[in-house]
Amino acid sequence: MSSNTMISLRPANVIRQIPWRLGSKTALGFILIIAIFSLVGWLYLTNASTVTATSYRIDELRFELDQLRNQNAALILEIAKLEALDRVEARATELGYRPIADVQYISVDNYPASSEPVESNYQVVYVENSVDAYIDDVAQPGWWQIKLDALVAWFEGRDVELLTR
Amino acid sequence: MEQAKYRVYTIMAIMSAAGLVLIGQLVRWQVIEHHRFAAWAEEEHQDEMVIPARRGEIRDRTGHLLATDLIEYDISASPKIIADPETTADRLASLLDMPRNEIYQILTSKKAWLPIKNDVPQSIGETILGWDTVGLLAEPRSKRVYPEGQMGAHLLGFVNNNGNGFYGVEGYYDNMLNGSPGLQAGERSPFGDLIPLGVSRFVPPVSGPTLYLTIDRGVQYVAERELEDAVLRYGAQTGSVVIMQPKTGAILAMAGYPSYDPNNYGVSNEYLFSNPTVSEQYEPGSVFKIVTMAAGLDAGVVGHLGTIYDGGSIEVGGRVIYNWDRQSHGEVDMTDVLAKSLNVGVAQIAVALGKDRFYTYMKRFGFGQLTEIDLDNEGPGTLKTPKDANWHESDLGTNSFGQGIAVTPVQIAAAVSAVANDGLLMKPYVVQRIVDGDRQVEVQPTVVRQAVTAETAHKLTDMLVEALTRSESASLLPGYRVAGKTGTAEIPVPGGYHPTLTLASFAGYLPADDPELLILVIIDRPTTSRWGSETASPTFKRIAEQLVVLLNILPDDIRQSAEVNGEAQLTLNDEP
Repeated sequence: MSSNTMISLRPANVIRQIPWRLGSKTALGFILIIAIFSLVGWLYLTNASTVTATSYRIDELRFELDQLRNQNAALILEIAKLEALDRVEARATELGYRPIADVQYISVDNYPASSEPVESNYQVVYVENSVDAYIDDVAQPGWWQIKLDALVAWFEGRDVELLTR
Repeated sequence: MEQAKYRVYTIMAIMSAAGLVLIGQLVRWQVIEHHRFAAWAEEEHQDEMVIPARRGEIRDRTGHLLATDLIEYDISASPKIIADPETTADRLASLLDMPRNEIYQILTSKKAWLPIKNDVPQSIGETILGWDTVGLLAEPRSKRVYPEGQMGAHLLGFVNNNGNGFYGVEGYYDNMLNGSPGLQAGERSPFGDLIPLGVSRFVPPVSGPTLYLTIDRGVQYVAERELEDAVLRYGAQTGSVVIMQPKTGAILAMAGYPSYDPNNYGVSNEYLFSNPTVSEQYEPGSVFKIVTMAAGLDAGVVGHLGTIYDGGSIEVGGRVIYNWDRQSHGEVDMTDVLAKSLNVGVAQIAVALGKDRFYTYMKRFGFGQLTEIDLDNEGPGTLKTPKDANWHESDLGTNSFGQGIAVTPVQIAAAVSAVANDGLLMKPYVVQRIVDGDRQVEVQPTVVRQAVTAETAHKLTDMLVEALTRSESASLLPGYRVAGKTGTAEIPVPGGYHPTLTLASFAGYLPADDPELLILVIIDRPTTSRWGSETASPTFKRIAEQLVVLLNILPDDIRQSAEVNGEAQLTLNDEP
């Protein structure tokens, strides 16, 4: 560099003269890459945010479902307590009802009988006990069912009831 | 200079040693114990929570609820992190019905955690959860509840605070009723929350199935009410009632008195928990003559119209057996043996059968074995046979009229049911249906074996009906043919039998030609009268006369007339 060389320090000149100044195509490439990364990042964050929100919502709904089930069970219990026979008897007595003392049966000609035939013979099934019957008939799926369930579970990438949140 | 060098070397040596220690530790952590620390770290940020399953319900045959789970809450606090104890105490005091100062003291305590109130109703627990107050905890807990209270306690059993079932159906079906617990597992943040984007696993809990029993709560109610009335009326100590369908073995009711409230079992004596109808054994007395007579008829050693001579006593194996009245009745027919409950008569049948055939029949009727009823803690009774070292020839005589042998009430009920059911011994059972979501298993009646032929059973039924008529039994129910037998058993005490106390019983079924009901009544140590005919028989009648109305069992003439005319059996509940 000679001593009489003029150097301009104006920013426009500095930018124009820097050795690594990019060409317009390269710059466009950079911008595209940045835009793609930004888009992927935005998609990821949006997705993560949705998953997180949904996860909390599932938890809330699961909790709400449990509460509703419990409330339903409490109401069923309340009904059962109100229907308890000692309570019903006490109430009936209060209302003036009395136990039946003398029952008279009257034969009514041509009274339409129940269409269901009265089954007098039952089918005898040899069952060791009801626990075995339950296990044999219900709890144990067949071989094909087990294999099919395993295949579906493998295909869906879950373990029994797997939910990835 | 030398001293300075020495110091430098010393410092270097110390630093080198420290460095070596650090390197050694790093090697230990990163290489030698890598797996342990990795697992530890994994454990630290992995959360696994077991979700308890809801215990299955128990319902009667008509679907009425007999046992279910109720959620209650235990309220507690971590005082150090409660931001506003004053306001929180005010809100809790009104909700929990507790003194405000007491709660305030808990909330301002220096301790890390303190309970405030346990067993709080569900609605209150959920209200507290809804406040979302940091440091205030509401932990849900299942409690087993029996809406009918004490009714059916022996049959149902109870569930303790740990969720384990004991006695009765709760004990027998405990594993099934418990269901399968669920699991929620995943990575958690430093604050203990599950990380939504982390890998997590949720296995939902599977509730236990609902059990529908063969029990009819109306029948159970009548049985318990009349049993209590009988025990008090006759000044007895305890009592039991078994009601079953002879054709199927389905138990309609099982009652024991005194009983307990399974909702509050902790305040009752432990001896009350056991179901006397399946767990307690007793000497059945003359009710057992039904079995001996069945064996004699079936083996052909006596004819149902045959006669024997009753000389008032008989010696069997060196032991003299007398009638209950110590009288001789002369020439009597087999029906009279039952009507007059003659010990000498049935002892003669047992002798004629011989020990081998007699005990073979006892086993065919299921004595000395479990009936395998689906209830917890069933006892097999005690039947000594000639193969046992403590059996004596005289046992053949005493066993024939129900002494020297111990049975459970359900064994007697099943054996007499076999006579009512064409000689078929059925397995008694109490669970009719198991419903698990949309799947269900219907439990079918099970034939154990043919104890005696149908012909023998029919003849014996006729004899039992006639015997009750001849003896003008208090069990007779107008309009219905009742077959049955009373029993008055002496109570064994060390060295013999109690001189006055007895165990009175009656086993009967009706209608005799098409039995719908078998009722066994046992009154233990009645004091107003020692005889089964004066205590158990009238109790049988009081129960039977209510049940024929409750279960729409028509009087014999109406039912038979409908059958003859080819009409279906009408019941009071049939709608046109």
